[in-house]
Amino acid sequence: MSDNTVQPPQGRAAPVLILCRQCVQYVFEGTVTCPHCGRDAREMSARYRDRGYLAIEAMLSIERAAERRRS
Amino acid sequence: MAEPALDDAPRRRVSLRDQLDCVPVYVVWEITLACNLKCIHCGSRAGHRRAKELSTAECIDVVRQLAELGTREISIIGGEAFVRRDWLTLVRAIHDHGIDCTMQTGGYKLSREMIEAAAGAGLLGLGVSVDGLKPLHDRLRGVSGSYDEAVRVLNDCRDIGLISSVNTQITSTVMPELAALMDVIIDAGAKYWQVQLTVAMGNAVDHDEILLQPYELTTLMPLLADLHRRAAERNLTLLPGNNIGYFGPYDVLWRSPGRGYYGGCPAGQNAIGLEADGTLKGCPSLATERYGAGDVRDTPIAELWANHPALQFNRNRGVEDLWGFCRGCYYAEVCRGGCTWTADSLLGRRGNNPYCHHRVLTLAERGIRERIVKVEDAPALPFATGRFALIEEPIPLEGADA
Repeated sequence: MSDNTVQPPQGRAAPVLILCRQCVQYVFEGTVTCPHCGRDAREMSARYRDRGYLAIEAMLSIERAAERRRS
Repeated sequence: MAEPALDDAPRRRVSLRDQLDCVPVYVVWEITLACNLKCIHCGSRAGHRRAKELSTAECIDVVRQLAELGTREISIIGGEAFVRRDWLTLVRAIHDHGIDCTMQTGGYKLSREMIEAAAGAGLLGLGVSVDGLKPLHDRLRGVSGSYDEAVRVLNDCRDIGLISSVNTQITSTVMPELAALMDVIIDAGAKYWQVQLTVAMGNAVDHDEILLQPYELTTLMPLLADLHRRAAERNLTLLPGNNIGYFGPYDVLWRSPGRGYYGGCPAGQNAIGLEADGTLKGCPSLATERYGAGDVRDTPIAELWANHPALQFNRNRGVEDLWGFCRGCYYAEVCRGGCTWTADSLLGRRGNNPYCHHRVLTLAERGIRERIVKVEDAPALPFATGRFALIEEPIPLEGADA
């Protein structure tokens, strides 16, 4: 082991993913063209809108914002 | 890792600050390796106590040190934790240090009086292993009557008012009985149901026929998604273990609320595993020879936690350890090969995990599937690993024998 000095450990956080609003697969935050379906990840599809993903994504983004404020 | 249920308990949830500061939020502590079951999938090959298990005083000092590091939940496991005579003293010590205490058990010979005493000492919740309906469970657990005992313990918890959860190993033959098992779990009053794939370690390497094949995730995942929905309607929360994933169509279903997707293995960043003899690891299930980070008798936990190389591998979130499919995966930076325990135990090296739904679906689009074949047995030691080969092959035509 090293000397007895204990420096507080430091880590990195997981990157943020969001759902592609077309194919509903995860993409990195800020993605414009979805690498999975090739469409505009920001444009809301009927599937995204009608199957509850909008509410889920809203809930997740509120949670992320709260997290960032706390940190 | 083989982390128990209660995943959605707010105190255990890992925050951004926890990640940056590497707070060991959650500790899984094998307080003895002695066990009264003979599970054929047991990774630690539990049965007899270790040669030099920590004394009561040493354990209480461990609790003190973990409290100072910011630990918020300790889950005591075995072997069978209650086989250790001072287990209630340890439950009370954990509770008295302001840390949530939970326990994972097979439930065999855990009496109602013992459960009441544990609740009185501050036990917050009890996780009970139920690996199938009676014939399968008793066969896997190696003791006739162990299923009845496990269900009886769940009923006792409900009657006492102690939160209970169920942990279920996903083995090669359990899928057809999961729906019926869910009914049993709901009737017994459990609040959480955590499922995890049986990992190729210890006794499970000796009995490799019980391991799921990676390509079987195409059947398992839709089944779990359906069970998740049906369980939620009946106030049971189905929780995916760390090796259930990743980034398939159902992650958003069972990882919300929370991040909504798998954020990578927390071992050594926000999780600690402790063996009964004082060996510290980043996760309780990891192979001791590769991930043992020293003895808490010799070195303060804070020093091991800060400095020991065996605990560092997840903290900078690099992708340099990834290989095979995972190396080139779109989600590499986030997922980092999924559960370290699962991949490392199977292939002898972390960073390439065939038990991934995204991977299985991606390969299927190319007409390919993967299966595992044992090529080397595991030594007769706790947390020992064997070696498996990963075979890539064309998906058989429908109706052809797999």
